[in-house]
Amino acid sequence: MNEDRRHILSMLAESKITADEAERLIAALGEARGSAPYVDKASGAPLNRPKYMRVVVDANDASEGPTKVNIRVPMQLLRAGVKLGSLIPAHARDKINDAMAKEGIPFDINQLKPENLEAMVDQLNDLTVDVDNERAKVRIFCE
Amino acid sequence: MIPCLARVSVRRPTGRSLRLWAPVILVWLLLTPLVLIAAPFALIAAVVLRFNPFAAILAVGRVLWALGGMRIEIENARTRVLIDMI
Repeated sequence: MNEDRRHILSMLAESKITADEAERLIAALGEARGSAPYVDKASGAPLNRPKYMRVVVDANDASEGPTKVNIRVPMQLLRAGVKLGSLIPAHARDKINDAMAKEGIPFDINQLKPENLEAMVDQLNDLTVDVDNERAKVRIFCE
Repeated sequence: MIPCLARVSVRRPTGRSLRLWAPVILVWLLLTPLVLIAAPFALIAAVVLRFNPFAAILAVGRVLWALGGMRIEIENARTRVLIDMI
């Protein structure tokens, strides 16, 4: 733990600042050092932010033969994409909510803010999807 | 990352292949007249559907801006398609 972070935490322990203020200060500290406050929750060690999401498919189709799919999507593109969601008009959002309610999913799309989606994209570093059967192998991961 | 070059490579079942390297700025410049033609219709759509056209332009711009580094590669025994934004 570095000196600045220790100082912030000691101020928090002495109740000189609130938990929210401490969080903001630690975040600002990370940004000032040119790295986002993206740390491993278990060890507190800094993590490298994932730059790309990869989708790798290795299929063996009886008619087409072996097929390989390799897709690399920049995380920046995912972040830009989720911001497009904020352009959904209000009446379309209501229709989505109604359709989901009909399916028995009590979900309000209005509660889904761009900040939440960005936080979700940030956490994709830990995501790994592995699907493996005799006909196809699919891997989704971030790097 | 702003894409500078778009690489498109297609190998057909006949064995013939097409390789294209296109400067993205040039593609954007070529598409500008089409965007200008489409702009009034987009504006009408924004009024009808009640969304902020400036926010839409910004969001689409962000998506185009972030395309750099994207790679799509599909290959089987007969064909291969590669799209690479560099």
